[in-house]
Amino acid sequence: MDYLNIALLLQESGKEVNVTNIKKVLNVLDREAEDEKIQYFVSILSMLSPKNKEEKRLNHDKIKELPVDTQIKKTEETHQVENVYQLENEYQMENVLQMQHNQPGRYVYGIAGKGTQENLGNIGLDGAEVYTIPYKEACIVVHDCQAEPYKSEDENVVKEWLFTQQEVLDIAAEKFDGVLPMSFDMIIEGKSGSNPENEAISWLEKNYESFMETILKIKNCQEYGIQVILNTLELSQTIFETDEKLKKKKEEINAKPEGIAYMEKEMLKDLVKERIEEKADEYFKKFYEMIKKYPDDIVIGKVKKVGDNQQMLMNLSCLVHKDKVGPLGEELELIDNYEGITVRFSGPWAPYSFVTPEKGAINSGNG
Amino acid sequence: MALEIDEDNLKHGLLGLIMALVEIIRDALKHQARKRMLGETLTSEEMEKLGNALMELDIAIENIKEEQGITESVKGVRDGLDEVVDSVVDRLLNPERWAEDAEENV
Repeated sequence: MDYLNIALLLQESGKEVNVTNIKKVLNVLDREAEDEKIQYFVSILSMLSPKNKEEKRLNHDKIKELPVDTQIKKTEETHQVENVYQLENEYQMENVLQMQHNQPGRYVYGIAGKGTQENLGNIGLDGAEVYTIPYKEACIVVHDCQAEPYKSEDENVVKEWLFTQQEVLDIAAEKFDGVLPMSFDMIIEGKSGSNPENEAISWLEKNYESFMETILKIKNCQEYGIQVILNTLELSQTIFETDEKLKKKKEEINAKPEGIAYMEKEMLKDLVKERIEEKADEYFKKFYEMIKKYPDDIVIGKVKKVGDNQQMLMNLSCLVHKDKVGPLGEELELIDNYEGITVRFSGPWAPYSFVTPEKGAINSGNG
Repeated sequence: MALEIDEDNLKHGLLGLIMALVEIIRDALKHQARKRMLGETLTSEEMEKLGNALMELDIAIENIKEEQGITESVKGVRDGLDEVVDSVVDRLLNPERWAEDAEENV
């Protein structure tokens, strides 16, 4: 509880709540300063307020380094501290939040088709407070930030951000029946000190019609990824077993002298490869017909390498209405039952593949 | 970004590249050999010789790759080249890609 009082004291006197300042106060009071505890305390406070991102991340790493049992104990403490802090200081929290609204940037998660102002809680990147800025029948899902892109050398930090971004979009999609997602690190900046909120609204105003059109299209829909993979080894075995001509040829070859047998085997391999290609084409047409009944829209992606003896036949992104996910799954199960075929079904995702990138805001990727 | 070079890495990379090229040349030879055989211009003695030579080349390549532990890096080089060729062919066959490229470069 001491720390909490010190923190309040610091905040009221307008000083930053950080390890050094808390230590100073403790020194004045002639009290022992326990580094670990203070650091932990500061990190909890910074979780509550998205200020001091850098410092929070630092402290976060520290926590991860603690042995597991201390972590659990600390977590219990956290909850207590958090609750008390929230109860006693709601008024102060409001102040803090208002202060944050003065930050020069707005991190944009996406656009939703509902003109309400709502607070979604501290669910954003690094625990930032996510809320909506309404305009007409739409709203922008944002949090307040510096006018600088989120960047980190640490892959895990970036991954964490990306997961959080997806979570926020999921929550927003659930709440507003679908959301038009923006790419990572999309930040709107208030030009030369102007209010970024106005900047965001004028950006939405400019793109309002095209946004609404897309939102209407993706309403109640989510994106699913479908990848169909063919096991070429399994298929070539089946081809040998079922094709009498090839079977006979293989036996003939075995009776020939080594060098010639080698050459003929090579030619046989070519033949089998051809057959596999034919089959792959046939499968593609068949499966595409089967799948295309269900999604509202399909984007055909490039096929990727998946490994030895594995060929990706199709890589689709499908925009599927909530009601059609079930039937689509059943159809995919049928496809999965074909010999040598594996289906990878992933999602639901925010419908990234079905929205065109918009211009007029800072959009800088992280690598 | 600075390039970090350690000897093992360099060896793998360079040998991998060389063996990948040797493999590609071998594939081209094989392709020619198959054509000749299909064209029936070769005597069975010539066929036997050709087949044996190519088979030995195959074995030699596999041995070297295994001895030097570069099977993976050879595969990496070849997959990389495959991708390059794929994207070039894709661009040639699909003129709409040119438009996409042009748009991106604006």
